[in-house]
Amino acid sequence: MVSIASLSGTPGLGNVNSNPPFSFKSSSAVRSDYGSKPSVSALMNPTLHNNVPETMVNSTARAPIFVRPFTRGFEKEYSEGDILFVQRGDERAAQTATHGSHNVIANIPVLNHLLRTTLVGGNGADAEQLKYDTIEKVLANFNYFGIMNNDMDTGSKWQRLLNVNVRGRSRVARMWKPPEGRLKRGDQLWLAFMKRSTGDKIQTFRGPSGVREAVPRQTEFVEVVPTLDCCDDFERAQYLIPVGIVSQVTMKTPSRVQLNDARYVTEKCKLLERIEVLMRI
Amino acid sequence: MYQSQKRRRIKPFARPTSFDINVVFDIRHYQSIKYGNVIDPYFPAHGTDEAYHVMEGEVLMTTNTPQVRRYGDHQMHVFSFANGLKADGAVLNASNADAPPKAAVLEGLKYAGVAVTEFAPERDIFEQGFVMTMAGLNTLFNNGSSIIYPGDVICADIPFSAAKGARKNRALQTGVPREKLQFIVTPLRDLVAQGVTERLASRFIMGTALSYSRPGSSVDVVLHKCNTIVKREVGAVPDLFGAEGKKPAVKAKKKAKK
Repeated sequence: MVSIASLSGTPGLGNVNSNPPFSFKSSSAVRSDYGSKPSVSALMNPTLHNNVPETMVNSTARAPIFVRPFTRGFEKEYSEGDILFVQRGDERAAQTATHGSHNVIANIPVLNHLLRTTLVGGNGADAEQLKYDTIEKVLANFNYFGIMNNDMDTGSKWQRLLNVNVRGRSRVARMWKPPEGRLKRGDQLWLAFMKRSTGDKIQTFRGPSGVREAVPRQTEFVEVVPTLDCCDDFERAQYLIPVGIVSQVTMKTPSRVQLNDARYVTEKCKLLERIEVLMRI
Repeated sequence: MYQSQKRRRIKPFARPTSFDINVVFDIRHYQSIKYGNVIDPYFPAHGTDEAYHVMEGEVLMTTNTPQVRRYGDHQMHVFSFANGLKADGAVLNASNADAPPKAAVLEGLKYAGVAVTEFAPERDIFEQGFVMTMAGLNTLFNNGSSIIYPGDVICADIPFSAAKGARKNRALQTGVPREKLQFIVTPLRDLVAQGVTERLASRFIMGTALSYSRPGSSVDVVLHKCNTIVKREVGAVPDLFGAEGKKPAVKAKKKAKK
């Protein structure tokens, strides 16, 4: 037979742990010469801590990244909620003694522009072959990084140090729309790499700054398209990246035209409402 | 000394690194099951309203039927009972030997998450909903029929039903009405071995097991939601991917539209 007293969980005496950081430090009354007043460091040292071994619910992990400026200043238009890719194989990303690391960062409109227009040997060369004409070349050169949160270096007009959400709760542009019904909580968001072709006609696309640019006929290029698992693009995609799970949705559904423009023009992407997703969970 | 492991779900940690959202109860599914077929009701006794309740730690599903506009809102509507699910003209019930094929039932479902707080449709406020977790460490009750090993990718699944009086072939959780068919936890390899395609099974991946668990005991898991399995043929060896993966060269079969 087990007695009640031997069970764990019986009430204790109610003694408070007097050791820091659990104690409530009380000082004696301040005297007329202010001799016993608490010091600044004592006031800044909290007496009670909420010290838990795990992070809180729906936390966010962020990482800073320096952006290498584009000649046409595309990076200046990046805003909160932009999905960012980082270019691989760039030696200038390495931090040296003389300068910090700079990475080529692209949001979806800029990445689509790069995939559509970058030629082998640079855009000034005579070659007409696209540099990223296959999905393998795209994946070898660009990594999905995260969703932009804010600019950490607002004082500089020359460079941008971005704070990027890489895991957890994040706000993102509402670039997704199911073919039927509404975007709902719990839906999984994807980025699809699609193969596109201009066909027999010269086609024009709007660049990240809104300027129209022509793509020659019979050009095959890769394009990044936001998609859902109920869309046709999901079935046809050559590669899929899971962005996250929707946790909060706005009421207003964007139109197809708005979503299409947001894939090519940064300013149009900025106009979309922001929803909340849980990334990489 | 009066503790039962089946009754208690002792969580080793307070759900660290969890990701939770608010969801609402699928009240229309509940009403269709409870009142839609009075000739052959799924919960005959009046005392089993409790079987429709959502309890803490239960696996939650949402319907994946073409009627996407059923509610017309942005909420996720979930439920935790498998009774009354239909496929190929048959109905899933606790004591029904003529159970429909598993894959056919799973086609109409989609894994949602694990309940954090409980919900009783006759008592709680529908609009307020309840909390569901989708990712992070957690402890579940292994109410399936499989032994789970650490590292197993686990899936949400529908349970085996049985003829009246026969062995249920699933671990019954203490405190849950026997008529209730809870969604169960099954390793991915077992689910595929039961004839469910990898493509369909990947829709039900819950997470990865962290502890050994026999049916009827608890299992520590790390839940993760952003995952899918796509197969790429590399020579003769199929290559499995988690998370980011390449689509197969051969066009995947489209789901049969009803």
